[in-house]
Amino acid sequence: MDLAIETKALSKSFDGLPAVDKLYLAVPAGSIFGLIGPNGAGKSTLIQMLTGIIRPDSGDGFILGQSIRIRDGSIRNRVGYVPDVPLMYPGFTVAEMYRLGSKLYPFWDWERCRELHQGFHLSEGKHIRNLSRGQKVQVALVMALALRPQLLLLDEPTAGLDPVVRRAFLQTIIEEVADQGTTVFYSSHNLNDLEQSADHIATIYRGRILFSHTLDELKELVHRLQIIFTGEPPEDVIKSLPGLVEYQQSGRVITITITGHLDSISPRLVELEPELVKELNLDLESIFVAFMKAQGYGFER
Amino acid sequence: MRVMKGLLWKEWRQYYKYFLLAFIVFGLEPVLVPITYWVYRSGRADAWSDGIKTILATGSSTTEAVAIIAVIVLAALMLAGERGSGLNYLVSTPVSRREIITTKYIVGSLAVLAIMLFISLFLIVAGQLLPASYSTLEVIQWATLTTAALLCLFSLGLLVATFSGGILSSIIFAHVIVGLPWILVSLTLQVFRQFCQVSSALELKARYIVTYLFIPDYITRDRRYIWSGNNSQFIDRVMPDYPLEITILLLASLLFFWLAIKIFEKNPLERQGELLLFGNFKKIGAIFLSFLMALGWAGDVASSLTSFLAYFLVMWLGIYLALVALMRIIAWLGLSRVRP
Repeated sequence: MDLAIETKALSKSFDGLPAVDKLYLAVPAGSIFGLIGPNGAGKSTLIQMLTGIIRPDSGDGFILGQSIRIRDGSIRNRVGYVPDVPLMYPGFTVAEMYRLGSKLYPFWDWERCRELHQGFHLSEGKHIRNLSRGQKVQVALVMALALRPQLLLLDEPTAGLDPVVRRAFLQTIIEEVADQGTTVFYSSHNLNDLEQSADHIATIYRGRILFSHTLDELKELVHRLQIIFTGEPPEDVIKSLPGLVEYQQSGRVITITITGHLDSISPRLVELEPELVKELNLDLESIFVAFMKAQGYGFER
Repeated sequence: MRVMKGLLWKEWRQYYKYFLLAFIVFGLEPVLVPITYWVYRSGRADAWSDGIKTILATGSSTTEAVAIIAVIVLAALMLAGERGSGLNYLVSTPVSRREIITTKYIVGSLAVLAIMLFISLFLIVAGQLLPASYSTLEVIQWATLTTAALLCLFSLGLLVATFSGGILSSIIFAHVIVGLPWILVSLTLQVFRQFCQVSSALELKARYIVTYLFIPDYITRDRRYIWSGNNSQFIDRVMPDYPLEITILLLASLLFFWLAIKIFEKNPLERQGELLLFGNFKKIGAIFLSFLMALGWAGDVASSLTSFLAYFLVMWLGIYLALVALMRIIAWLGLSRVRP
């Protein structure tokens, strides 16, 4: 399997505190890979190391097969980057930023640039400093896509965007992947966005990857069951089921969330002779929370 | 080459207004003042060139003093001023840090060259067309040496900007580095004069050396006069050896540029605006500043060499701790972005 991104024991500390801690990651080429994690987990630090903004303390990372430690800038010829706060030149106009991009990237596609620019209804003559945050993200995305990337690194680009802009942004990403086979590595708090677009999900916590699965694998690993008993529900037995992360009881109805494959607990459930067992649909957020609880990590309110 | 062309365009587009401002600042006295004087044409026919004669002669003029500060400010703006904004964008593109700093050096140096060339040409042409109290040779000598010195200062400013956090710290530290030869030699001689026998020959040698290490001296040339220890007696004047001095300055400029590349290549852009290289720049600055202050104060209070050394070490540690405490208080009050 070709990997667009690979890291091996990648580490970075600030003032002695690890931001990324011996991180191992493998992102398949052509995938839309979502990275989720709480604030301060190391998402932005990881992405900034991959883009070359921050140098790692130890370990190595590879983007499109080339080490991020190489000083030659040409490894980023086909890498587009959209940060959470797009950093461009405030005194430049939108047109001048495109012009700069065309001079720096060897595969710059002006036709694609114009098409995306018009699609987002941006104004060429406006100075960057006069754009709203959403417009800056759109300009950054236009530039990231106009360079004909093989890899797109997106660091919470939709945070704070209105729903219309966010939807347009996601749609553009999905089209890019479908048309060009671009790998998208996308960090976000918004699990709904990831559920719509990502096919792989990884979670980072305190600088380390807790888990990394395809979306289908993740859905196979977490289940919410509603169990109805005719008599008194065997609470103790159910609470002892392996992989149980949530338990709710309302009369004869028990709702449990368990991690692991359903095949492993089905026989034990059958033994309890329930009246009805029904699997409920779970959204990605519920799956994520359940999985984190199973790993022993809870998020404090 | 494609990338370098793109960067050159970007640097010009981003800073052309500053270059224009620098031209106005450099050219105000040598270009605009004579024009104004010539327009009114009062006094002698060559009276319009009196101000220019002052600039070309030894002694500091407003133009030279302003130009020295202006190139250091320009270097700080071009590098330190871009931290936390465009620089993060730039390093995520297919450019290397070497290419970034090289283009800044090239564009800034070309701007200084172009400004000085214009001013020189104006002075030469004006001196040929109108009665003037200066000669073309004087203009050429002044222009080549001043340009070399300004290029050296620009290069030094760029070097300092590679390891200092913001524009202001960059400008201040660059000026401290420029003045360092004078500060260190003066303090050291003062201490030695107090506690040891310092021969006048040694003192003279130290002063000669300092005139070659203090870059503004190449421009103003007023400190090329060697005075006795108590500044009461004129001893000698170092006459400019133009080929030697221009070579020294250009070599120094290249050395500072080479160091700037080495440092800039190594440092990442963490914590937008704050550069961490050998630990924390603020702590290094505190160590350095406390060293200089302790050197001066210990010399004032000590009565012997032994007591001077004791005072110096205690004061150095004390002043350093006081500066660190001050930085922590400032950070705690929320007046600084980053804790020391």
